Order: sequence, then C-alpha cells, then structure tokens
Amino acid sequence: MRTLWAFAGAVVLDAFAGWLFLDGHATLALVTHLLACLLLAGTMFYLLPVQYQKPVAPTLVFLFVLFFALPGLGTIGISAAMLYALYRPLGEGGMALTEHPIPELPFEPKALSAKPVYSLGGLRAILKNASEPNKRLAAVMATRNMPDQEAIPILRLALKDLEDDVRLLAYSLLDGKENSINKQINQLQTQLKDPTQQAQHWRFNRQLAEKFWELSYLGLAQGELRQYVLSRAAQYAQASIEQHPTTATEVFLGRVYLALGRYQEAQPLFERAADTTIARRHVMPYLAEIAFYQRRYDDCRAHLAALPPQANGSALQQLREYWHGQS
Amino acid sequence: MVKADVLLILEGTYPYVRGGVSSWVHQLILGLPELKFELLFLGGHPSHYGPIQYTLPDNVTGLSVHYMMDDQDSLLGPSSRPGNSERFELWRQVQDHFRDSRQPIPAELLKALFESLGKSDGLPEEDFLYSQASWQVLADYYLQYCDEPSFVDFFWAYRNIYRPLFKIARIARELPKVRLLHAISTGYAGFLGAGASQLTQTPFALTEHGIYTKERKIDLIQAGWIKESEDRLGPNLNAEMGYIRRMWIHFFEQLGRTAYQHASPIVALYEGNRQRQIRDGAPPEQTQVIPNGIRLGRFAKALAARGPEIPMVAGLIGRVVPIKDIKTFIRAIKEALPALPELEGWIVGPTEEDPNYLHECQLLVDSLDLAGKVKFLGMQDVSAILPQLGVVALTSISEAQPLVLLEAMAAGVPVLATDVGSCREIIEGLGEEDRALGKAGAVVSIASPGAAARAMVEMLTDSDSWQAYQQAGLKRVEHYYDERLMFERYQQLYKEAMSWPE
Repeated sequence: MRTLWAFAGAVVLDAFAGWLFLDGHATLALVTHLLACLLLAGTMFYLLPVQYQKPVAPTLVFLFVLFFALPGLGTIGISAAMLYALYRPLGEGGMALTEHPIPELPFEPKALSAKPVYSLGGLRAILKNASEPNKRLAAVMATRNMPDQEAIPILRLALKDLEDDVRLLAYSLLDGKENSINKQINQLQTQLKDPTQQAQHWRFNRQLAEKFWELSYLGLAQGELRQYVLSRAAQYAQASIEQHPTTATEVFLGRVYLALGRYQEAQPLFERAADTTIARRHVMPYLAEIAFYQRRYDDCRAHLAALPPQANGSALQQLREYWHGQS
Repeated sequence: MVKADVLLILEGTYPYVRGGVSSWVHQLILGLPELKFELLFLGGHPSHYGPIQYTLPDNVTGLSVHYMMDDQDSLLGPSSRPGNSERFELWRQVQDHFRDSRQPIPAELLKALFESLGKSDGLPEEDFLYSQASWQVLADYYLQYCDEPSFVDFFWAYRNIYRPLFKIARIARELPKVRLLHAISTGYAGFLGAGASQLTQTPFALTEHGIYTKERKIDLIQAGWIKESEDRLGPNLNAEMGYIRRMWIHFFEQLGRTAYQHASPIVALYEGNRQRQIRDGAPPEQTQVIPNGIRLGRFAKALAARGPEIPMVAGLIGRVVPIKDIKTFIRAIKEALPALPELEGWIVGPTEEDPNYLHECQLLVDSLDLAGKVKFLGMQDVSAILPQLGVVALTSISEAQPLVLLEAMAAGVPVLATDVGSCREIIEGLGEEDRALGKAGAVVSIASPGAAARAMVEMLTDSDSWQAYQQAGLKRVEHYYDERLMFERYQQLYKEAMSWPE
C-alpha cells in the first residue's frame, strides 16, 4: 500500500515538474523531475517481480534513466507497460512451437552382443550337455521370453535335470502356464452356467474347447490325461456347433477327432469344409493324414495334389514333393 | 545365569506350523528330555500364523515370537535428520557384502553390525530410513551398480531388503543366555544365530532340512511382486534377471553364506544336501550328516492292524502346498483308473497353509471328473490311516528326507516317491549293505503322472512284489532310521558344541 502511495506521489511530483516547466521555471522543473524520477525508480524497483530486482544497482540506475528520459505521462505509460509485461509474459498460444516428447531410451545402452542370446537348439544342448548348473538354470530362464509352444518341450526336458534348482524352476514355470489355462477354463465354465448369457453360450463352448485343446497341444497333458482333455475339447466343440455351427468350429472339431484317432468322425467334418473354397487348402493336409492312417494311400496322394504349392522348404511342401515324386 | 541349554532359532515353523520340520523339532525336544530348550520363532507377519499347534514339552523354558513385518514398525514417523556419515561407512561395507555375495561377512564386521544396528549411539533405524547420510549411500549404490531405470522400485526394494536386519540385530542383543544357539535353517534364523554367536561368544550350530537359500531363490525368480523392466529391443532369448530380483537373491545368498561361515557344526539330513551346503559356502570340515529317524514302536500297531488284502488306496501324506505337487498325484490317479477302476487317492494333511493351491487342486479334481475318487481328508492320525493304504505316494518336486516315507515303511506300506532329496536312498538303500535289503517301493521322475500311475498299478496288483517291498521297508527303517540313532547323534553333537570354553 505504501508503495502505491509513493508511486502516486512520484507521478503527482512529476506532473508538478511539467507545470513548472510550462510556467517558465526550467531549472526548478528539472530538479523536481529529478526528485520525482528518483522516487519513481525506487518505487518501481519494489514493484518489479523479484527475479528482475537483481543486480540491484544497475536495475535502479536503469529505471532512473528510463524515467528521467521520458518526462510527464511517459513515466506512467512506461511503468504500466513494464509491470504488465514482466508479470504477464506472453503465453505459448500464439507461438509456432511444437512439443516433442523426449524419445524413450534404455537407461543405459544394452550391449546385446555381450549377453547370451540363445537359439532354441542351443537351449536344448545346454540343458543336455552343460556341466555347470548355473548355465542350465540360465537356459531355463531364457524360456521365459519364448512362445509357450517352444518353451514347454524345453521345460519338460529340464524337469529331468539332476540339479534341484533347475528342476524346481522349470516346474514352477510350467505350472504357471498350466494354471493360467486352468483358470480360464474355470472362468468360462462359470460363464457357461449363467443363463443370462445364453446367447453367448456357443462362444463359451468354443473357447472352452480351445482351452482343453491347448492343454494337449502345448504338451501339458500327456498319456491318459491327453485323451481326457481332448475328449473334453470335442464335447465342448460339439456343443458349440449345435448352438451355432461355423466352418471354423467344424474344422477345429475335426482336428480334435484326428488327435483322438477318431478318423471316421473327423473325415466328414473336413470334407464339408473342403467344399468351401476358403477352407479347402487348410483341410487338405488333414484329409491326407486321415487317408494315410486308414491306409488309403491313393486318396492321400490325391489330397496332397489338390493342395496349392506351399512355401519352399516348408514341411508341407516337402511332404507334397515326396508324394508327387512317388506318382 | 544360563536360562537354557539350547536356544532353537526357528523360522516360520515350530510351533505355529504343523508337519515337516515342526514335527522333527517336537520330536527332538521330546527325545532329549535331559536338555532344556528355549525357543525363538521368527515369522513374516502375524496374520500368516494361527495359534500354537503343539503342546510345548516340559523341557521348553520359554518361547519368544518375532515378526519381520510387524505393523507396529510402520508407525515410525518420517522426520528428516542428517545422520552420521562415519557410522554409515560400516553400513557401506556390510552392504557391499550383500551386493556381492561371494564372500561371507567377516566376523569382526558382523559383530560390529550386530552391536550397532538399531542403537541410538550406533546406526538407528530412523537414520537408515530418513537421514541424508543414508540417502547418500543409497543414491551412490543406485548410480554405481543398478542398471534398471526405476529409482522408485530400487528405493523401496533397498528398504524392504535391509530393514529386517535392524530387527534381527535387536533380537540378537536381547537373547537370553544359553549354552548353545541352534538354528534350524539359514535365512534370517541362520543370520541371527551367526550374529548372536559373534556378539555373545556362544557356540552356534545349524541344521538344515531343505536348502533354504535354494528355495528362496526359486521363489524370487518367480515372484510377480518384483517389477522388471521389459526388454523392448526384441524377442531375444536373454536369460538375465532384473537387477532388483538379483539384489534380493544376493541378499539371501549372503544370509546363508554368513550362517555357514559362523556355524559349527552344520548338519544336513543326507549327503546330497551336505554337498550342496559345501557348494554354497559351508566349510567342508564343519559339515556332517545326521539322518532323521522315527519311533518304530509307534507304527508297530499300524503294522499289526493291516488286513490280509492290499487296499486299493494310494495315499499322499503331506501338506497341501505346491512343493508337494499334489496335482501330479491327482493326475496319476486319473491315469491309473483305466487299469485299476477301484483305485482311490487319499490326500492326508493340513490344507490351510495355501488355500489358493488347495482350490486349484480341487478344481483339478472336478475338471478330471475324479469326485469320489480323490479325497481330501485333512489332518488325520497317520498311524490310523496307514493300515488303510495300499501304497504311500510322495510326488514332491523338492524334499530333503521325508519322514512320511519312513513312517509308511515302518507301518508296512510300500512307498512310491519322486527322485528328489534322499527319497531314492530311503527306498532303494544307500550303501551296498543297505541296497542288499531290497527296494521298499518305486522311484519315478518328478511331474510324471504317467510313470507314477504305472508304478502304482504295478505295486497294487502284483502281490508278490508288494510283499517284498513291505519286507525291505521294514528292515531298512529298523536298521538305519530308528529315532534312537538320531537322538544319540544329537546328544553327542550338543555335548561337543557346549563343551566350548565359556
């Protein structure tokens, strides 16, 4: 408040200096203006934002010179402009700036080449041949970054390891994978019991069939258990087809029957799918497989012949070439 | 004034948890009535434990209970303080040993640590948590060694890892005077024993049933609560763990290594574990093997109660916890049923330790349509159950020397076990003389329900083999696993350890 009074006093004093000047008292006017400017500079100094008050002496001198050079209304104008500008800096709205986020980089460069980067075969070789238990443990650790289908055979191999640590780790990794599938099965079975979701039951049945199939496909269920989970997969797939038949589910059920060795039930499902052009090339190998198991080798050859050429070097292409070579 | 002969330091077992190590501790105390035992129990959090599960024998002089994660501790309010940088030099040295766990903490440093941690004129816990000096040590550690980006994760891991040491040191300073400290595992219990032994110059013995550090390591590798930064540079098959996970593992490795370094003797239940202890830092000359034993008389009645027929029941006697791999047992029953439709699987043992796992097992029973075929019987009198079983199966993925196999053999039941711990020794015999007694059952690989099922069916359907397994089992427990042998050896061990000059 005191500062404002001082500021107002300084302005009045400067106005008085102007009147003296106009009245012909030039020297007196100059002295009054000088006093007014000193007062104004001191007052303005306190009104400035703190970060602009340093260094003190040059700031005071600058203010004094500025006010001294602009007598009369100039002091009011410059004071108002200065305070406004310093307290209300320009916003970013009108400026042509684009913000770029700092690119995310690793905390420190990763020397990839210095770390062991295993191949699938390498992992098996380590598990079978490495005498140092920590190396075998590391091989099991490496499976954490692999797809389940590739990791599980390696983990099963590690279950036979003589070292407790290796076995325990492999076991807990396998158990974790299986638990996650079993939890999903449990969840889907609960949903299937919910009558309010009747419209979705075909979908739940289909998903349940896939989960049971996964247990067998990944090698998590073997022997008698494999037969059991496959038969559950077949039951659920059948239920899904009854509620909402789709070619995809029929082909899926065909694959389950094929895995169960129930060829006669699998065959019509694949044949029906083969009538639709989209699924044709997918089901021909299965039909060939059934024909092979049933010792109908001519049919087997015919089915493979109907298969369009596959990528060079692929297992299916090799099979195709083998059978064609025979013809 | 000496309060007791032996102070047993127990981590997460007796008298709050039943079975396994706890049964052994109870048996040991009862078997050596001429000695007085003081008990010290270390637990995680009070909510993890229920009431005491055993009637404490008369020769127990007292029980003190301490929890590593006590809610009371978290009431310590934050307040900034400078901390004493010189005293934190000691902390720096100790921490270096935990960071690089290849060498144990030397005796002098260990003593200084236990004298100083948590004391107002030493290294107060408040200083560790809130002082600038502590912050400086922590920040230096992070900048110098941690290669993970999250400082926040590091900060909390660092605190959680090291804070229990303050509690351990306080407990060690307040221990009653005894003639011998005896820890029944490494970990916090073993470290407490090692530190207290340095502080009070009391001899310190260590008995390990399983291998604590190994089990902790497997838990930590799997632990989902340890955050790990994802490798975004592509799917390479990198086997490296994150720094914080390694930090936890090194911590427990050091606890074990220091316990080994300061304990004498170090007892394992079988040779395999003794070798493992040596590999993990135990001086070979301090190690010895004392196998478990059982009271044969207790099972004579069970043997006499057996009927002429072989019951078509396979029993798994043990806690329902993942390490016992109950699921493989359940699957084995499923696999055996086509060949032996009248077979039943009984799971006998406490179920409250891991309710989630119990639920998973029950779901598996349901999903395999085994309701009525696989039964969870809970806690039972083992000697009453054994005559009703045709075979005792143990499908564990890790064991030391399971008493249940010995008990089954003493009750005339052939056994089937996975090839872990000393199961093979127990079933097939160790030396030439032992092996000549014959096999008491079958050994199969872990997590192999098919193999377990085949062995079960073979044992239960071939009466001649069954009889031969029974006879071999009876002879073997009588010759090698009578509890009197174990008591004699512990009596001797205690006598020698307590004869140290005071």
